[in-house]
Amino acid sequence: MASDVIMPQMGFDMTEGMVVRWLKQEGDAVSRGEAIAEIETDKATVELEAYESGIMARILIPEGVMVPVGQTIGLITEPGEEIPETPPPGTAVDAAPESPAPPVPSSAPAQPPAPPPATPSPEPDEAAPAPARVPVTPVARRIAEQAGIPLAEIQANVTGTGPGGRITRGDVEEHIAARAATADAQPVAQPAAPDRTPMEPPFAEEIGIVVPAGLPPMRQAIARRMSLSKLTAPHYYITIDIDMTRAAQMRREINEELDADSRVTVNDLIIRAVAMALRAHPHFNVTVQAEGIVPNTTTDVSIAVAMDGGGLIAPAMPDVGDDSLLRIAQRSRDLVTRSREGRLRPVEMNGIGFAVSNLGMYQVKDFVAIITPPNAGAIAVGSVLPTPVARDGQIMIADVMSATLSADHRATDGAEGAQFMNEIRRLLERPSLLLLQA
Amino acid sequence: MPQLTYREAIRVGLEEALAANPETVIMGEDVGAYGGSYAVTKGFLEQYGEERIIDTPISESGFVGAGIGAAIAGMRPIVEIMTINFSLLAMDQIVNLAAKARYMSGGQMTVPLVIRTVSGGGNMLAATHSQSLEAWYARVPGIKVVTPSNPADALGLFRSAMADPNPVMYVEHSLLYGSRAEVPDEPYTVPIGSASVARPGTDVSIIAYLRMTPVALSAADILEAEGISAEVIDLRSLLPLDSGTIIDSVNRTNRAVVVEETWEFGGFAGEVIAQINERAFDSLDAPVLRVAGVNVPTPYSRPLELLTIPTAEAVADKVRSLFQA
Repeated sequence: MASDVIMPQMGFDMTEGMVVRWLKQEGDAVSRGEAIAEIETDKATVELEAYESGIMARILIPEGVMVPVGQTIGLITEPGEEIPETPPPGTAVDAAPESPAPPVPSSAPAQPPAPPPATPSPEPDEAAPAPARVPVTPVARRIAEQAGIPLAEIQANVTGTGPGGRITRGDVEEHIAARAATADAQPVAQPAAPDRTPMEPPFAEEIGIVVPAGLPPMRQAIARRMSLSKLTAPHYYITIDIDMTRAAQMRREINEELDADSRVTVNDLIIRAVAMALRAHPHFNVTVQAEGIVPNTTTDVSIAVAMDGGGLIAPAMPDVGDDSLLRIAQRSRDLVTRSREGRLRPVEMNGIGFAVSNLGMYQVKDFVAIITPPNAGAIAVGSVLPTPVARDGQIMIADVMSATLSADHRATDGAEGAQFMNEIRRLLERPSLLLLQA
Repeated sequence: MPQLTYREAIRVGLEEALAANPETVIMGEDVGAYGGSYAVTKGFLEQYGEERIIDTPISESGFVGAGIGAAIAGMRPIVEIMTINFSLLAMDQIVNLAAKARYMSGGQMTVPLVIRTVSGGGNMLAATHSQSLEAWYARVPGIKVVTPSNPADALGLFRSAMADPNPVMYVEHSLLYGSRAEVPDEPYTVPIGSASVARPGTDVSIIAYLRMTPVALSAADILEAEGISAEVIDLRSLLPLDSGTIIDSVNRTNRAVVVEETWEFGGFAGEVIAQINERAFDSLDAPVLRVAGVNVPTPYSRPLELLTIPTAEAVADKVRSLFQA
């Protein structure tokens, strides 16, 4: 069966993207998971992988043209399959009714007629007699949930290709792609803002954000997202000083035992401390959304990476909570390398992750970060500087680093922020705690 | 160093240890005059003398106990138990003394002891001499269990075992001694408790250790030809277990098959699967399956014995089942 290649949403506020380069030409064989195109989002260039194996039958969007997320940009068919007539992208396939009431979603075929149309998402599993349970694999469930698609819709519309007829990740992804393509072709037929994921913020123009004209895509993204944060997320700030003497000593000892390419940086110590503190204070490990304060299922930390040509991105290290210091060092090094090479994975670009921003290399005493929504906070750390401190009535010199928490007041209060920062200080001032594994 | 066999790599480790510390001795059955039943210590007696290469009586409990005592007293002994089957006679020494001394003495005693031993079947040595018991020891807090699958890891893990202040069971496999591969020239170690990605892949994680690692790699070759990209994780250490590498891999591939040479029931594969279930459930696209030995005493008959040990084809078959509706 032919399957559409669609412009993917990589990152919660991505609305459009551009094919920089098609890696496959019409007629080429493609296998599932193989890179078929390079997509430029507003922040990075990411490889688009094929969801299906087959033949690259059609390229519908030429290189260099910006198209909305969900747009069909190509077509993969099975070998020997006849290429279906494809309507020009973006054209309505089927004229939508002009009725003001949103149509009953196709997801609920067995639903009783005409419930009040006020809520666009009735609960079909309760309304309809349950069909035989169709098994859905855990990762497929997660992908569906992240895309905001009810499980019942998936079960009603998808034939499982996994062992025992299970609906797999690939099946759900295919369904999402097909759904997005349909939604794109029928814009009038959709209820209010149906295709926004819960994470997606309002569009910049709607709340009066000014993005100066003529900026390159990355600067535009920074302008939009940072303005949005300052306009919608009430920040509060807490700055503490951390004595890094012992942490620096431990790091030296560890690095004496490691190869040059596996060494642990000060930033790795901080990432580990933040990950541990997020576990101890889970109310900081949340996203702040219109639907509510949503706890994260994993501990994700993102790091701000300055790009060589200017600008910055903050790719995430997903599920870093259980990682050892050594693993964090590996992952952060790899992440920075791939950031600069433009080879980030979608999961690293979805915008979720408590951010660590470090200007330590620039002899900075302290500074303040802007939270990247919908995250609940960010930490800005300055340089480790020899600083006079009072201890036991004496003035002495210690290696001191300042760290400033920026936190969203909708999720937490100052006293909680202080406790969170004290936990980070405790971990860094007794650095052997960073080596404990759960 | 160019290419070394697994046996030669272990020899290099032993010779380094003997050279580095005059308090290092090797003791065990037939390690001296006979040169070791797998010829790992061949020629050592002539080179280092009988004070340091000590042939012991056939009494595992006795010489393992002597090794523990020497370690507590400050030496750096290496004890060889001819095969892991015979370690049963020394189990009280290993489990109740070596693993507990540091804890029960409140840290006043440490046991820097390396116990080398040989595991595995496939040699027509029948039911009592073909067992893989390393996973039993991997249940005991206080000891470490490492299981190198190739020459480079054999040397790197041996160096780490010698540097460790705690008792380490260093488990070799009788069918790996002749395997040959590149060993790095520059000084290196393989940390205890770190698994490796023996082969990267995207569609399924095959998790294995010791001789099942080459079996898993062959299975990955078979699967590659069929369009399935298998990642092979070599555990390298059973205790401590590097679950981070396992979870990271499964998070990427969404599928896993765990391979174990010995009995399926109550085995180490079950532990690995439990950890995946606990920590990567939401990444799974199929049940996690295992390929393990048959739950029988190993038959002496060659054709029957081969039926009890996982093969590359059996692993490939199990992986295929994850991709079929």
